[in-house]
Amino acid sequence: MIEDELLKWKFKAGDKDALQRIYEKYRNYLLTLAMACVNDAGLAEDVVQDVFVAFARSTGKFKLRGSLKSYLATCALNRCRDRIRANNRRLLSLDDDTPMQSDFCPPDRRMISDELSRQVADAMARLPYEQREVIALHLNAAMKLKQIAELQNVSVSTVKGRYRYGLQKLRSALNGRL
Amino acid sequence: MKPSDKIENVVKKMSFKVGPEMDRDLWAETSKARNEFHKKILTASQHNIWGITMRSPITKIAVATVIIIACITGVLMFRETSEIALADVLTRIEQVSAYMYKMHWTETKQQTASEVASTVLISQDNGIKMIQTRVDPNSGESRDDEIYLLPRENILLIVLHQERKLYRIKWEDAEEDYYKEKYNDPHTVIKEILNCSHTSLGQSIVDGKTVEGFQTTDLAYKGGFFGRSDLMAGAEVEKIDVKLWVNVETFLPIRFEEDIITKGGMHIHEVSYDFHWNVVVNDRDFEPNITEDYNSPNGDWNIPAFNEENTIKGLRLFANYAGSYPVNLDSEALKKEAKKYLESGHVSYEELSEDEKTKYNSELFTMLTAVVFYDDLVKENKDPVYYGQNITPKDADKVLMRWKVSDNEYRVIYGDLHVETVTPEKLAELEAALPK
Repeated sequence: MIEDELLKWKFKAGDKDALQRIYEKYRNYLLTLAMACVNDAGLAEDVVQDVFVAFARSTGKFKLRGSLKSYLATCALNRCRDRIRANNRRLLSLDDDTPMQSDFCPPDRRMISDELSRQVADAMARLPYEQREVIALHLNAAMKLKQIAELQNVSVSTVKGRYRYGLQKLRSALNGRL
Repeated sequence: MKPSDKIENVVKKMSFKVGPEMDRDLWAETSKARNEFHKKILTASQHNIWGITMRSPITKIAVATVIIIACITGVLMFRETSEIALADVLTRIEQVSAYMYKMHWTETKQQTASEVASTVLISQDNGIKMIQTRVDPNSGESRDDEIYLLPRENILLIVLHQERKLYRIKWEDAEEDYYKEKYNDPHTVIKEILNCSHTSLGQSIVDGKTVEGFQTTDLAYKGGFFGRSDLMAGAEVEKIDVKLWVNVETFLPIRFEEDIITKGGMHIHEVSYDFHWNVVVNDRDFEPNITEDYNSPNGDWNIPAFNEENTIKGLRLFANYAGSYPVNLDSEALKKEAKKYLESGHVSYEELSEDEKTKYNSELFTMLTAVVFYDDLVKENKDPVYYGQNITPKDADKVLMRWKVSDNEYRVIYGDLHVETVTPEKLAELEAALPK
C-alpha cells in the first residue's frame, strides 16, 4: 500500500524508475488476468502492452485516488472487452475461405505457465464472458463482488449469480483433472 | 475443504508469466511511450507549475512526508482524479442504456429573468425527449413544449402545445451529434470539460452522496445546455463557471451547474439534477403527444448533408434561378439573395401550403449548403477558394471553387459544375487562366 502510494507519486512526478517498478510489479498479474479473460496469448500480450503504454503516456498528469492495482486491473479489463469485440468483428468479417493468419509465436515461447494454469484458462474460455470476468476479477485480481458489480453495471446479486454459475461450470469442466 | 474452495484455489493459483522475449518487447514499448510523452510534455509546458514547485528539495521531502503519513494513517490526502475519473465517467455513461434528469435554466438580462424547467429522457436506442415548461418573464404565464431528437428517423421534432404546432427538422446525416450537443447530452458536456483546462474540487456530499467535483472556467468551453453558441448569439463571453459532481460509488454524474456571463450583461445559470440511471423505456415514450389538429406551419425542414455533391446541387439551383453563381459564400448575403429568387412571382411565404413551404425550405437549405461546406473546409485548413465573382455557368473549364484533398491533390468544381481532382501544378495553370 505504502509502496504503491509512493510509486504513484513518483510516477506522477515523472520518475522513470517508478514506471519500471510498476511494470515489474504488475506485468505478470495483468498477463494472468488478461489470459483468464481472453485465453489467447497474442491478445493477452496486446492487452498488457496497451495498458502499460497508455499508463506510461499519463506521466505528469496521472492522478488516482484509489488502489493502483485495481486501477490497472480495470484498465486491463476494459481493453480485454475492446479486444474481444474487435476480434469478434474481425472474425465475422472474414470469409470462410480466408485463411486465419497466425502471426503470434507459440505462447510457450513468449509466456511461462504450467499445465494446470493452461487447463484452467481453457476451461474459463468456455464460460460466458460475464461469468469469466467475474471469476477472474474476484479470484485473480482480488476485487470485491461489489466493485465488480459497479464495473459490470449490474447488481451485486447478479454478480454473485454469475460467480456461482461460473464456478459450477468450471468445476464440471475441470472434473477429473483436479 | 469444500469443492468450491478447491476450485477457487485452483483458479487463484493460475499463473502466466511474461517470458524474456515478451518482457523485452513490452518494456521497450512502455519505455518508448513514456519517453515520447515526457518529451512532448516538456516542450509543451515549460512553465509547468508542478515542475517548478517540485524542483525545490524541501518541497519534495514535504510532499513525500505527507504521502507517507497519509498512507500510514489510512487518510488519503490527495484531492484528485480529474481526467482519469472524467474519462471513466464517460465510459460509465456509455454503458447506461437510458437515463432521466431534471434541468433548470435561468436567463437574466437587464433585471428580467426568463426560466425554463425541463425533464430530459435520454435513451441510447431511441434518442432524446425533453419536456419543457417556460415561464414568460412579463406575464408570468407558463407554457409546456416538447422536443424529440429521434436518430433512427433523423428527425428533430418540436411540439408547441399552446399553439398546437409541430416543427419537423430532418437531416441527411452527421447532424445527430450537433443536436445532442445543442440539447445538452451530458456525455457531450463531459467531453467538453475534458477538452478544457479543469480542476478537481475534491470530495463533498451532495444529496447525501459522496461526490467528486470538477470545475472548468475555461472560456474555450463550448458545451452545455442548449449549446453555448446558440444562447449567446455571438455575444462575447466574459466568465464561465462549470461544475460537475460525480458520485464516487457509481462514477455517474449527480449534479451539474453552469454559469455564463456575457460582456453584454446576460447571465445564464443552469442546473441539472435528480439523475435516474438505467431507467426502463419503450418506443411509446418517444412518440410525440399530439392530436390530429396539430399543424406544421413551416412544412418540414430538410437539412442536407454538407458535402461536395449537395454543394454542386445548391450552386446549380442558385444558377437556375439567378443565371449566375453567388458572388461570394457569405451566409447572410446568400440567404437574402436566395430568398429573393425563391419568393419572386410567389404569394408571400406565409400563404404557401405546407408542401410548398417544405419545398421552399428544402431549396433554401440546398443553396446554403455551399456556405457550410466552404466554412468546414476553412476550419479543416483545406485551403478553399471560391471564384463566384468572376465565373459563370458558361465558363465550363474555369475554376469556380477548389480545395485541397492531399499534399499532391486539389479538388476543383468548374464553371459548368463538373468536378475533377488535379495536381497543384495543374491548378496553378487553371488559376493563372482565370479572368482578372
